[in-house]
Amino acid sequence: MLLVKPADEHNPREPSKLFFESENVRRIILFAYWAVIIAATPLWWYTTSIERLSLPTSRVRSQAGNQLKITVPIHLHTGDSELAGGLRKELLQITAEDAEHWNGITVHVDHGLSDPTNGSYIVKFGGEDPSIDSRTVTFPLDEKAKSAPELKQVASTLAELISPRSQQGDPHHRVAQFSPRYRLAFTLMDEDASAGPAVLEWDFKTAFRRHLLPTLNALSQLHNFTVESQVQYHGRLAFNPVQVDEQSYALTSEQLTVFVNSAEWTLSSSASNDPVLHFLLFVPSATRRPLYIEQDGQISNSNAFILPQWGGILIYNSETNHHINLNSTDLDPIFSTFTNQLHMLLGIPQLPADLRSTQVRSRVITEWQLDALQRRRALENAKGAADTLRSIVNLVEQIENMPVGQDVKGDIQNALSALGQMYTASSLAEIFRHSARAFTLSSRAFFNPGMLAMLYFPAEHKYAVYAPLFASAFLPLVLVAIREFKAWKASRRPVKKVDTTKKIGS
Amino acid sequence: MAKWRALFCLAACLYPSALAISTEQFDEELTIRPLPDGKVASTFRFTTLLQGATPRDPQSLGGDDVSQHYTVFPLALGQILREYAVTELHLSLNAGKWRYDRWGLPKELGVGTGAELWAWMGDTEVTSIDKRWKGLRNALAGLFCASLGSLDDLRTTSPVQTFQPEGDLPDWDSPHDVRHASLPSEHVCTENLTPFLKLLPCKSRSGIASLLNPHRLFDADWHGMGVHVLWREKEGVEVRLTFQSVSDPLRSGSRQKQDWSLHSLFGRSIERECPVAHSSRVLVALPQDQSYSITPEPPLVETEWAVFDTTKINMPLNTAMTWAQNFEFPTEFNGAPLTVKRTLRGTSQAYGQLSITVQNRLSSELPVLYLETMPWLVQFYLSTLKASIGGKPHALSNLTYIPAIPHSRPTTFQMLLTIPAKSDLEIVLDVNKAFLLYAEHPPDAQRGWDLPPAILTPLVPIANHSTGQLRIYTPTLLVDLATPDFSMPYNVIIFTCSLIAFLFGNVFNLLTRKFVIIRVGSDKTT
Amino acid sequence: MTDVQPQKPIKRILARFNRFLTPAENASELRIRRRNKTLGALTRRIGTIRLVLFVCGYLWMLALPSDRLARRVWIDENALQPNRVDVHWNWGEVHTADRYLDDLENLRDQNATSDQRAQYLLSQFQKLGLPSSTQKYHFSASSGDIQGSNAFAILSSPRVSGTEAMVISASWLSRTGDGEGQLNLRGVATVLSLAGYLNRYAHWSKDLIFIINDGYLDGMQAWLSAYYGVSQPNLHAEPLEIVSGVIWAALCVDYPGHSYSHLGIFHEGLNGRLPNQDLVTSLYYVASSNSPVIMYDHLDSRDVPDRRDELDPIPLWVPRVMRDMPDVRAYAYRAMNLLRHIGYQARGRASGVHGLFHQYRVDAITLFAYPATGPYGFHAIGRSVEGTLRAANNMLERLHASFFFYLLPVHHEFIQIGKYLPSAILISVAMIFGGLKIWSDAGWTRSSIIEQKVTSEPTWTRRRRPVIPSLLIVLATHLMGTLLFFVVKSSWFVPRYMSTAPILFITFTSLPPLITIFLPPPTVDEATTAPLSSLLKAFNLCIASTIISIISVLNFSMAASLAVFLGIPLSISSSSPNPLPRVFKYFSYALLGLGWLLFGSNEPKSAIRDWEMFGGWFAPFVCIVYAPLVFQAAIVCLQPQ
Repeated sequence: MLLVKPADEHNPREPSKLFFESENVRRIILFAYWAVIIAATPLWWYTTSIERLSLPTSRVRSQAGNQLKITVPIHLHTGDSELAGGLRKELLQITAEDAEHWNGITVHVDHGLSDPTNGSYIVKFGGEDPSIDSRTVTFPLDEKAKSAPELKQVASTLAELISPRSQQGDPHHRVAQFSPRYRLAFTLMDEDASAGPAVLEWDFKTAFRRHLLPTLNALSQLHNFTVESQVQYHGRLAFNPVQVDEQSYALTSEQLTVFVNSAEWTLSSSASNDPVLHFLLFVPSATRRPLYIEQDGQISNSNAFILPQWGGILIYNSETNHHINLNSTDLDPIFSTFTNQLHMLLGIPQLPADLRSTQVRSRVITEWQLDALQRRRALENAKGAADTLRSIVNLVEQIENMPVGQDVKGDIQNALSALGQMYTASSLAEIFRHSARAFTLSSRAFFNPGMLAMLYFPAEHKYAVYAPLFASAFLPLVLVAIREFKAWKASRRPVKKVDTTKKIGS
Repeated sequence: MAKWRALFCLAACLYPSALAISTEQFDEELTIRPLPDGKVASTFRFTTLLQGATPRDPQSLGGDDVSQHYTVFPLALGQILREYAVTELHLSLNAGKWRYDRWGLPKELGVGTGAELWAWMGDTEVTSIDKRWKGLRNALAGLFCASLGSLDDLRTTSPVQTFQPEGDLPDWDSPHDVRHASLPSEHVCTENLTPFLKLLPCKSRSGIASLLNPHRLFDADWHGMGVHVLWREKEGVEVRLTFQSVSDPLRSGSRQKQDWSLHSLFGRSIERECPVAHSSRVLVALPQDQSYSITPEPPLVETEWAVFDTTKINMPLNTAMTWAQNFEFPTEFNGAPLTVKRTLRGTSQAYGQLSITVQNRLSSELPVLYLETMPWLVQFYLSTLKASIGGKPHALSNLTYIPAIPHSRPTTFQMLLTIPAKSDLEIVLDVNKAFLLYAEHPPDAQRGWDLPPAILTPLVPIANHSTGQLRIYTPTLLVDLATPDFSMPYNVIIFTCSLIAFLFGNVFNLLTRKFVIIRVGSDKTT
Repeated sequence: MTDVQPQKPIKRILARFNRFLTPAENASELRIRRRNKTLGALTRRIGTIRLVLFVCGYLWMLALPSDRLARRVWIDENALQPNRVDVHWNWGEVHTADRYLDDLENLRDQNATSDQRAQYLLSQFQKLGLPSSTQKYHFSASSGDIQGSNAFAILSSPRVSGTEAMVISASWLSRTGDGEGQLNLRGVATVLSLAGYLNRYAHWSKDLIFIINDGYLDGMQAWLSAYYGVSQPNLHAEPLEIVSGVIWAALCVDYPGHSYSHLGIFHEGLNGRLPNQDLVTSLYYVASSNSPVIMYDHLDSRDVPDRRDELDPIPLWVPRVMRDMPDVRAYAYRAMNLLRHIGYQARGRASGVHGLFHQYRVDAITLFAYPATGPYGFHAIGRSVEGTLRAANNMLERLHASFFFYLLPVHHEFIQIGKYLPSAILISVAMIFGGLKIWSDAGWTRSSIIEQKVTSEPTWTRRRRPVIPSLLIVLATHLMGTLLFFVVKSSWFVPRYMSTAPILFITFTSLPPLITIFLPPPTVDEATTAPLSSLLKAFNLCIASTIISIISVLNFSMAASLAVFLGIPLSISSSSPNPLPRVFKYFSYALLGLGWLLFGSNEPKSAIRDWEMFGGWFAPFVCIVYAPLVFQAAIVCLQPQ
């Protein structure tokens, strides 16, 4: 500002005459500042905010309410309504007794001599002993003699077929978690091939085709399988088996749990994320042969054991004193064991003890078993999917700074729609397929890496960076804006003279 | 589900195909040769041949793959190869600088400092090469516990001429292409060797592999491991695992002789043979001009090579070599016929000068392909490229130059040098050093950035070198870039903000201030 | 306008805010009043303020040696760990060193040419199996040509990429007497035996470069410019046959005597650059366990009482009582070190061969074995060097953590920049205040001549301040300085120095009066235009103060010296009515500005050599900046009043 001493005479020009001193120019400048700031705000907001798409929370919540119901139609191939009635009563009683076990499954029984068209299970009476073939089960029950105990017996057998207890059991959680694709890794593992006579090769493919392929084909509508096999010549154990007598050794039950020496054995496959089921043929080194499994004190007669959800292990003590290659015949017992272990790991129910399968050897699993498995998996998946979706929603609600991308949202929506289709679906296969889809999608959404990346803009950062910059830059802006506004109002008010000596923003 | 079944059946019925007819063969070999400067170079080679197998056709990537059944072939590697449909793969992890001038040419070519990965893959629309390349390097990073994941697009180039496939390429309708990346700052250590050993059928427990003892190997002057996968139309897929090391018998003070034994080199001797090895040989180069003695007496001597077959010889085998007289360092080394010196001059952090000197010791003119794959941190001023021999300007030909894109793509610079007999070719080139975003600086920002080695490829066969095309790596470089002080970022932020706010305030005030005339009476009149 | 009846707090705040937004009627007037008052008060007291500033500044400088300002050194880069290093250098290596020494002494006795020496060194390196080479170089300087040949070897360490390197060097000539002849045989022997010894270890994370450079500084200059590809017109150096990576640290071994008693640290580099303090500190940590450490070659008279008379820095006229006071003696010793430091840094002279490395961003120091009859020898110095190398070997990054600006009054204490910089700044502030005062005064004059009325106090009137002539003078003086510089560095001047210096002095002293003669005669009317002298003085002071404050962050010693030499003299320059004192003043200033031509003995020569061979900025600075400033003051005195 021009400071004018009283001493000198000549006046400088009256500044308010200068063109840039007019009110409007100043207001335009001020306006320009604010315009820039306001225009820039969205950009700033965009660059400092994270993508959080809204999730269909309400739909997820509502899903929790409804519950999958699968009806099991049973056709009693008989004209005798009394028998049918009795059997139906027994069945209903069984289901009623154990409600939570039968939760989600409703049995629907009808009878008649005509073969049913809808894909219902057929119960025939006659024959000499109980047998089962694909969808038909036959009981040696002549229609006259229908005493209560026999009926009860038949009913319980049917119940066992429809929803086997053996599955719901599984106390050790052996059954692997559901996945549309499993990787079956077979390993021939020599403890120390160079220490003495060992097994160098095995005719894997033939044995596999003979034993496992039928099962895998039968299961093809539940799972896909990738099969791989390898041979390891130096699979050192992380512990020393106990010596039973001078030439035989044994694994204690504690040692079974730590049998797999994951530090040194290269079993895990890095290529894909599918769950792996390992099948290990372990050949003890010549110095530690024969090796048995010890069960509460004495040597058990089986040399195989299962590590729950991991796979099966079989110990093979070869007596030869030279390197050998196992051909397919040597492998037969081994691979039938592997097959059983696979059945257990996948939760394929056993046939009830008193039933005998009469179907061709190639079809190892009856439709009863398959459907029972499908039912179980469908129920599990439905529950799992619903739970996962709910936990995702909760998580996102809890953590404000968790980004939610389009892919997550899409997965969740698809999972929801799959669930919806599942409830409306008619056939068991349909139900299962939708449930599986819902489950996979929901878990994919849950483990989406994009949600883990906590790329955000913390509050401390805001304060630390913005405070020195904006606080000091904004204050004059705001003040001047207010003053200008007041001045403008004052100028609008007619008579009141404006104080000229008001100086702004110095 | 129907599709799955279909695919599964396909997979099931494919069993007897490709892999089924393949039989596998495992050979191991150790080569030991004394070097002119008193050191001893040893090269392990473990070759697994999958006879009759073919690499996966990328066209089939969408669907299920044939299932893999191996006995001696490493499954972990096989999975990766088929997952990403890799036709040919070369990975090398080296520590130290290979001194061509003293040690001559290495048995295995890939001796560039740090990590180097290059692969040939068929291109297809199913999944692009670059996607598979990304997956491949991540998978390998996981397999070898090396930071190969950082061989990202900032370092990936595709120099076809220098990296010709060592094997054959299947003639699929999809064309093949190469991807190459190198990471000079990678430090090779035990955690890389352990997974490497796991790929061997006999681990490090029997056979020649039992000599791979980390404690001694990582004390050597130079060591490097390599994984090479290639396909030969006649034979099949071959996996070659190599380990090279250069150890110094003279280092431990008092010893004046070049004497060595398996035990002194590796701290072990071969106790047991590997039961599945098809052949297993230890080759020792016999010096021509000095008097020496070797124990045990070699059962077989091929021209200046002593051969020990561990499957026949009685165990344990501890080959040892002793010299009659003390070792004298020669004053003149006649190492590789082609040596190169590459330096980055200048002290400024903004620009510098790259100077390359290629020396041709042969008595004949030598055409050489020179390749730079430089990260964008250092950008070339091609206009300043000058080549001279003894001060006289010299012509360069066949320049290919793919300029770098900052923050995304490295430079690929290739030229054809024709070096006259027995002469040094000097090349100088001004370079510009990039200014990085603060987030791009490494944790040890003040150290600088390692630059990958340049590679020379003679176009005519020099020295009796068998395995295909020759590659010579220059030493790596370290470049200083302008580096901020990372010790107190918030102070910097706050100072800067305050300064900006101050300037803003002043300008703003001047713009929106109202000037008026004020008559100030003398101070007494209040 | 403050209303009294109680209000709700919100309202009150609003009201206050309103009041804040709508200030009082005459707020601006009040503000201006206030401003004038304060300004007036300040301008009236400007003289005292300046005085206070001057006194504070100079006192601060005097206080620098006191131990109140210093604090103990510490290692800032955690990686170094100098206390953890274990050294294996032992008598066996000492024996090897002795054998090398015998060979070197033979070479000296047959006074072998530098090529023969280089060949010998090369053969020794080759015997050790190290890649080695030699380099011939040739300097053409006005003080005569210099040529020689360096020998060097590169130990490329196992398992490292060889992108980082450390240098261990010894010059053929020792630094004693700035490389005037005394040989550094034991230093060379030390480096040779180190080369053989360090070669046996596998744990080096960097390449080691062993350099035996010919001559004193010249050889290393040639080697470095070849290594970094820097071309220098008057230097012809062969390109290096073998190279290594980026050099991070360099140790220069200087061991002239037969054996030594103390290990001296020299750290000043060319143009006042300093190495990172961590390097100095780690050397001190390592070395002090082998032999006592001192700064430079300054023995502390308190450590060697028997040699007190020759060592004691305190002049004899100081009363005995004071000289015996421990505080005084400590002060004296520290002051001696600081003066030595300022001597090197202000002249931008390298205190040893290490000084040449700093310009290439290499931290380097010289280990000087203070010649004495025992007790230490190869054993101690070898251990010191090895230990320091081990510490430096731990570096993961360049040294960047610790200080680059520091003063070392003693080897184990340092003064941070914040504690020494203000001394120079205060003085430059005092000067610029003076300049501004003179400038504003020049704008006004008391016009009490025309006033008859005694009622009003003497009134002030403005007057013109013609800046052009004074600026022209300033320009002219600096041009003169440039001319002087070119004359001085010409090959005509240096050889016949004794004869030419006085001539130069006379010519350049008589030039300014001539210039002023040709200027338009000073305006008679003091009332309407300001006198030339005051304007010139104002500019002179402002320029000088600006230069001081700028230099002070680059090279404190130089700034401090400038503050001492220019601060008071420029401020008191004034003309006087009668010519005799004017001429006298003029000549005293001329002496201050160009006296070095007459009394500088060898200083000018060596400064010029530094400029020609190593690019030291001292000579041009004195000629182009310092002398002209003084001459401006001189011209001020020459002006008639």
